Amino acid sequence: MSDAPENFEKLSKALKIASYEVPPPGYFNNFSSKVIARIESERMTPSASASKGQLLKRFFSLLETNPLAAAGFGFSVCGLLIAGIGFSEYQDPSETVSTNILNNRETASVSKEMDQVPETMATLSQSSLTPSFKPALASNDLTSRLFDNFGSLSVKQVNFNTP
Amino acid sequence: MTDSVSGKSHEDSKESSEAVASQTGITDESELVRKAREGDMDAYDSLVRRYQERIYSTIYHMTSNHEDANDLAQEAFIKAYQALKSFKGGSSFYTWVYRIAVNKTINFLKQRKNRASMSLNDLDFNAEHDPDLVALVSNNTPRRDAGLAELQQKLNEGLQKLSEQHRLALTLHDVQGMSHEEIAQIMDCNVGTVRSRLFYARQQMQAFLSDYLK
Repeated sequence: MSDAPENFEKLSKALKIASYEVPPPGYFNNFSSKVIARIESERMTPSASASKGQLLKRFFSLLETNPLAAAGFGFSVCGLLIAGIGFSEYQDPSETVSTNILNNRETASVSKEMDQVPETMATLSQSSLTPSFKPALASNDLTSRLFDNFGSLSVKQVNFNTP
Repeated sequence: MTDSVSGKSHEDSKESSEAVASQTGITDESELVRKAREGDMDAYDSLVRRYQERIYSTIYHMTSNHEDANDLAQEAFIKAYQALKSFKGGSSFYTWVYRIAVNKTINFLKQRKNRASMSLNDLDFNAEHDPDLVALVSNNTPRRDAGLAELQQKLNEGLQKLSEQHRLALTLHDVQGMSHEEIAQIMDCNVGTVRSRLFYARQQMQAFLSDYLK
């Protein structure tokens, strides 16, 4: 690889044309004053520096101008991401044990209750029917309805002899 | 800091910065930077005047668009002022501002990738009398001004075909007349990388402009 002038002599001559490209006359007379005016107008804006937008702008300009800050920011974001992924995949063993204990206890209490349920009900529950301990009708209501008519009955002698 | 290819713009800028320095009475760049950091706008104005032409010129050759170069050069100086407190003085202010301008331009070019449009500056009257350019153009067309305009158009098209990094290396070295070391500082890479980018960029440009370089 060589960038010796003789290899690109004609190209260098052609590139000279670029140095003749000039902005309109007097273009730079107001350039610096425009820059200063823009800086001052941004400065005068009330509470502009305190606004979130400005803070973000400053932050990004810092990242743009300072490679160390940019690298630090990049590393911290990557670090957070990796830590987040690691944390989500990690399961604390003590938490696992306590969860298992809790599950066992729940199972045990349910099985105790099931022992108290009559066998028929247990059978029902096994055949995927939901057991219920509440009767469909209240027992008092049922008794009163069944024997209400017997209250007005009277005993009479009956003759079973056929004529 | 002169270059065999094109020392013109660099020399002119040097002269203008000396004129600015004599106007403000401060010749030391670090003194101007210190004052600007303390809020002295006249000092910052002097710094802007010192480097405005070179910054504008570099951005212009990167974008091939006068309006974009104007906006980006202004924004680069504004950003430099806002970030002045973070300037530690490890490099010269000039290199630091250049880096800001170059980063801003590269970001801009990435965003406008699919809508590149040229808005070229006029050629200086002296271009018609440059013997090298006259020799190049007269082979192709009898009309010198038309030939120069065509070459300018073709050259800018060729520059736009290069990647941002190759275009920047070519602009800073062959148009701005900077040394490899300065370019390495601005582009934040080593001198070998600058040489390699420059070589590749020249090869590409030579192929693109082959009709004019016979």
